[in-house]
Amino acid sequence: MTQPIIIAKDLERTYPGKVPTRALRGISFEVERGSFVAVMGRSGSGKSTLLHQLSLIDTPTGGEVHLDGVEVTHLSDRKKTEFRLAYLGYVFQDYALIVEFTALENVFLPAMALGRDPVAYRKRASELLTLVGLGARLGHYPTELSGGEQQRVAIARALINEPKIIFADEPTANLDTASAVTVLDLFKKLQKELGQTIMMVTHEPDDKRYVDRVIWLEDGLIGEKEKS
Amino acid sequence: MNSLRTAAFIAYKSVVRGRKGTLALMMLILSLSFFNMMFIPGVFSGLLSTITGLLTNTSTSDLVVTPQQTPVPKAFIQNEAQVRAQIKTIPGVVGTARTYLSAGSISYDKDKNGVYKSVSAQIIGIDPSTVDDALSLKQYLVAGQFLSDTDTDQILLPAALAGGYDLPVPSDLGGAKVGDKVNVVYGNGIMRTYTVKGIVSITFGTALTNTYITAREAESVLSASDAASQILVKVDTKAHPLAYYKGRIQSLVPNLKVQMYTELLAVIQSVLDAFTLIAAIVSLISVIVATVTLFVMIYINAVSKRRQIGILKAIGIKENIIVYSYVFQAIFYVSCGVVLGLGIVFGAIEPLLRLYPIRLPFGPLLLSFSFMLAAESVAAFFVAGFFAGLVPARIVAREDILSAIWG
Repeated sequence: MTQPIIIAKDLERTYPGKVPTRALRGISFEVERGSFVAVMGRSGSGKSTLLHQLSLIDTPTGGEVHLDGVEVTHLSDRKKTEFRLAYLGYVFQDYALIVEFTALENVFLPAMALGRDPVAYRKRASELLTLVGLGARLGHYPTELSGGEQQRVAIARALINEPKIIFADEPTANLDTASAVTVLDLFKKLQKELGQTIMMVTHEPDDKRYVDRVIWLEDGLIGEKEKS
Repeated sequence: MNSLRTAAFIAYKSVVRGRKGTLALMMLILSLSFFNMMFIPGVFSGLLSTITGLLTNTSTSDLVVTPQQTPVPKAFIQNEAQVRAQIKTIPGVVGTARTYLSAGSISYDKDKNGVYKSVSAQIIGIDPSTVDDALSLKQYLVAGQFLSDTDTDQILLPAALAGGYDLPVPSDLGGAKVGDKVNVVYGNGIMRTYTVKGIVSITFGTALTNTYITAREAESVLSASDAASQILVKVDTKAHPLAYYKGRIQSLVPNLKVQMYTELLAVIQSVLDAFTLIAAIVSLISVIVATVTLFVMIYINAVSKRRQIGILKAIGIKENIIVYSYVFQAIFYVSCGVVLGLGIVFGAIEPLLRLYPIRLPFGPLLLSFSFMLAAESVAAFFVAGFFAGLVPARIVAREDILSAIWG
């Protein structure tokens, strides 16, 4: 049996304040390599907080995260950034594209930062944009693209460095139904064809049909429900 | 290297896709700051250049050799031809001239009615044919002719003493003109009558009231021969500094006193020092203004792009790449400011002042820029730009990712 690609152990995140907020209260779970997992729960249940801890965008106040066999919780900020760049992809709810960059530039920027060959990363970025159905819009700026198109650019960007895991934070929340289906179909395709591990936060019950497993959060505690 | 390339790319896109109005405003402010940084020191430098040029052209040249003072003060340098020949052997010495100095009183009867007006003057004996090897007196001739070596009854009056030239002296002869006769009583009591051969107009400094006769006539008055009250030495200061020539001359003629013009013109030196200080202060203020301007603009730019910075960090772009990108932007703005500033200075103001110089009592005011001044200004501007880009970008880029993205 292969080692799980994500291991969370007693993960906690408490936000300081007059009344500290315990967003995650010590949750543990494992995710198998190549699986498509949804994190679901009511608003404020800690879904996005969990994703932020796992994707190294935030630092937990307790517990450990192991990604692809590496204990990442205690890495320095610099090492975390390097890890994010090389091994993780992140898709934001609101696309989070750089408005001054074209679609192609948005996609190849992480590869450029990783020091890949310019010719190779431009070619790869172009291929990825073609894969997500935007082969004809390489030179378009984000403001010239629809929400669904922008999200597909963001997915292509997340894929450029061939990450071990893609984290997606409510990637369809701002999209119309047709665009949402396109994005979810794309994730499914990536999982099936490339064996990509994907962990997605969503609040749409219908999205369950795309994933292998649902991690259900409730008030910062885990209550796993099998895919219905 | 890869980080720098990525930072340069982000900076390039930010500039190219950024607001053109903001870019233009920033360049304008920086170019004017740079212009200010160059212009004021350039004016002071030009002012000093004009003043020192006037004084060295008319009074001191670059170095002055005078008779020994100890153990027994001497009135003249003896064997002056031999001394000058020795000095000329020093590489970099451009020319020499000797002068005789004497105090005297000049009187003039303008209306030929026996009523004389008298003025005190420094009367200087010169060799007309060679004096311009060290001075540039001929260029100040405004009436009549310059002296000839053989003249013994001719005199060159300064415009200030001749009168009628509206120059700042307490008294003058009331309007002596070329061809008029004046009487001169020397300090040793000898009296001579001379015809005014020419008028020189030196409008500032110690030469304002200098009156010139030939060295031949001066030797007659002072009972001297092959001597000089002082030997003036013009040198190539680009080849060596003045102090070098002073040392070399002093080693050749250890019994004579050698002084640089800067030592003789102590007042001018103090003005020069004050101007240098003022110019440095103005330059410093310009650098501070440019730095603060850049700092504020980069900071506003970075703060307005907090979310973008957060996104860049979230997708794995290192903090130093983000910081470098802002430093590159600042360096780009500074480069444009420098180029535009240099364009304003050398393409507009400097040629304009050359065509239409500002007239001052001591001559035309021209801007004077040294390569060092320009290099220092450019270097200071780039250093300021580097820190003005670095500091605000670091402040903003250090924010944690979620705060930056969500505010």
